[in-house]
Amino acid sequence: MSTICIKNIHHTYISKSGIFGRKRKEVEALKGISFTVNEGEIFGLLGPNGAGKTTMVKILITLLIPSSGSATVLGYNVVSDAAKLRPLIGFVLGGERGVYWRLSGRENLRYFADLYGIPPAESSKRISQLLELVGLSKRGDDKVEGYSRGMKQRLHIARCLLHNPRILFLDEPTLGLDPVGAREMRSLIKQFQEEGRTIFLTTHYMFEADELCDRVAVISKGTVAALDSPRELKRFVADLHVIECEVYGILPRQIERIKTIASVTDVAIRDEDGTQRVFIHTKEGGAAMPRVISILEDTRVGNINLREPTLEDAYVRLVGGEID
Amino acid sequence: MATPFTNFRIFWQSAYLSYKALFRWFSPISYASSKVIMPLFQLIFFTFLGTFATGAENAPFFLIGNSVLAVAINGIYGVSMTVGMERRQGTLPYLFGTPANRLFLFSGRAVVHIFDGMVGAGISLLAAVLIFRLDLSATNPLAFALTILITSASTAAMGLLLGSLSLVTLNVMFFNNTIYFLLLVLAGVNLPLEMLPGWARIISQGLPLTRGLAAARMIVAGSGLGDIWWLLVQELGIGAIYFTIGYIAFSLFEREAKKRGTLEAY
Amino acid sequence: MSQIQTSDTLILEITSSGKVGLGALLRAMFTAGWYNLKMMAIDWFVIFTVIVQPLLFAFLAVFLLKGKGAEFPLISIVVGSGMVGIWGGLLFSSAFNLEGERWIGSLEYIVASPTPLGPVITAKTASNVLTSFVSMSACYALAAALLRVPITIANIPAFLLAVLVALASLLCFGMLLAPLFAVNLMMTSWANALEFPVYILGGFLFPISLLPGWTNPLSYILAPYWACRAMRAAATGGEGMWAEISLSIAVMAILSAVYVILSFWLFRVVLRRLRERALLGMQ
Repeated sequence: MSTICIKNIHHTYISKSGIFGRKRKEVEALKGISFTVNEGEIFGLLGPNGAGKTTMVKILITLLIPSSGSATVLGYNVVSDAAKLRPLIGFVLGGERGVYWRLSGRENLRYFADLYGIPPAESSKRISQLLELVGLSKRGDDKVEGYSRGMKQRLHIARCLLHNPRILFLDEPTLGLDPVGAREMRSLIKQFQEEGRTIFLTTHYMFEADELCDRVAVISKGTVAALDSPRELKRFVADLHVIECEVYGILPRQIERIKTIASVTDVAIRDEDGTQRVFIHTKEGGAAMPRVISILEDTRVGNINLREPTLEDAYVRLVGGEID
Repeated sequence: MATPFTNFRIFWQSAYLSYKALFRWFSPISYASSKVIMPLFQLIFFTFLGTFATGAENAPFFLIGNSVLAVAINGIYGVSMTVGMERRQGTLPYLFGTPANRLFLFSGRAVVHIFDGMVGAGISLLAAVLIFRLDLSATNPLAFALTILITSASTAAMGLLLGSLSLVTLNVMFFNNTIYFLLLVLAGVNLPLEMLPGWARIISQGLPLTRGLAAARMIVAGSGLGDIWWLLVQELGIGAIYFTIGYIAFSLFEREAKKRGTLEAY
Repeated sequence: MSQIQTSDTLILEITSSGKVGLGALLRAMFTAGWYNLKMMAIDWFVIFTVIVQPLLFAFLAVFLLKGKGAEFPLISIVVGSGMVGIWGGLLFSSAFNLEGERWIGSLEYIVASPTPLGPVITAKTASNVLTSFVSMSACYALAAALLRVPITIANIPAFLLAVLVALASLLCFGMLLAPLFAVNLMMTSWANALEFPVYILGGFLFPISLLPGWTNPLSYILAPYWACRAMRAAATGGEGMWAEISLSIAVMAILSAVYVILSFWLFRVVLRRLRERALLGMQ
């Protein structure tokens, strides 16, 4: 049974610039998105920054009215039945904003418990349980301004579970978290699924999508580029091998030269701390390796290896080399 | 390195940046709201209140007082926010990282507001003439303009001091508002100084605007530069004192912040 | 992190339309107002608006107006400068409460909850107005004690009644202002511009009969004008006091009803606009 059903959603917004706001530009963020999400699955929406992931989420949680098309969540239309839908869903929009810094974690939860009409007899108990769940019980009475980013994000998770929603929308739930915090967040998300909730998340970490999601949709430039399980998506690049190398400052002309190698289909670069990671998709396994090494001759190279494709490589192919 | 020319450039660059910031801060609508409408209604309010309390013949007192006060909107709010904004936008570390002469960097931030403040006073005065038929026939325009310029500069010096304060406190609006209202009440804008109790008169002598405003009143009444030059020198002196304190505070803050690495923290 | 006990027994107090029930609504409003107070108590801007500014105004007004004698007694000055403080507090809280939620990033979470936004913002405004009122009363009592000026109120029960009705109608006015300020995000910068016009039109410190006649209808549709009239009548007493109070209260009741109806309509329009233009959050 499909819990979320999206039909041909378009969204256009007007961006104004200039001192008098007179330079108006129409930007089409979503150009006809359709897909469905099944009950009880973890569904991932992937795509580069600016691809429209957050816009899509905001439409589904009734905070944004699409320009055209329709969407239903749990059978309710997100525009016309917004009020009836709202108590049934929970969401976190990512980042640390949206909680009151001058109140304690517990007070923040109390406030939202009241906004959701949770009976007072239930709410104290529930707030304590949720603080425990997200590991904040010891800091629950401290003001939020003293919380770390990860703690604020965990507080948001507690907040979105207050009214026991059947669907959770999580926009970039691990963005900005340290690796251990991110791992704890992922295990929480799995736990939510075991409790029978449907989870709709956006991320641009491919291993995260691979680890968590039952199915993923890749959106790029406002349209759905692919929709399948991570395993099926990986099959899409099964014919490839990937040369992955860590470099310290690759030049654009070197990238262009690598692209001219006959067996190379895609080249993508990701900036990391002080280094870059270059992903070279090739159809002939290690054969391209010597050419790559010779092109990178006068560049400092960390390690270089040949490996089987991952979900990230499928993603690179789908969005045409555009990673971030 | 720091030739007069470089310093001159730093000064104008600083002024230009503050001008751009001014227009980002005040979009045309909020500029109109804070710079035209607010002072205009303030003028109307106090003129009605004053004439109700003391008689219609005193209208010029309130009209001139509140028109000249308009320079303080730029001088105090505009200048202090220009400095405060550096902090919010996190550009302060870059500024402090440069070898540019601090004095020129600091004062450049005020210069645009000095002239914009004069425009503000001009708008209020125009309204006073059009709405309340304020009689300026005896006024020497050049002497009046000079007085407004000096008064605008001395309130801007106060603004620089408040701006430096904004680098250490988040509550700069509290201080801005309080100073602005002190001017409104104690600088001779709406209450003649001789009506004030002794302690309030002492405060009024330490405020910018007090002497500049007194000079402006004399010019409207027909005095020339010869009669008021001493008031203007004193007004300039008060401005110089605030400027110096502000500059010292700015330098102290820079040193303290560099030592503790709190430039961006707030 | 431990296992959560999924409470399947959790039943929300929500009606079939998806909104919270009346009891839950009042509870949410109380919490919103109370927490707003907690957050505001450490806000210096509020301290300025509700303490420093009215005190300076009272100082100015007392010095200017003390020569008027019986025509404008001290209590009238106190009531008038009190209205200055209340209007300042009401104006800035209704202008910034909504915008403040946007800044913090909590507006989206509130809008998506089953509690309507209007009551939440109203509760916050109410807590602001109440603070202005209480702290200002304390200020005047203190000032009167220090300056040894007796502040005499002619009819205390009538005055309390006038204060209550005045606060309620001002709050309704605030309910109208809040969505008005959200119609266009630029509107918040108009808050400055609206401060003095109401001081003028409200007749707080001088009678509106001094103003050109065409402005009087504007005064008549402003609750602050009638609030000031009612409180002043009760404070100064005399013949015709009850007539004056009843007239003011009746007008305030009618105006309040109109404000509230307009406010409901405006909140609806504004929320729809914000949802269409993706302006609930700040990007």
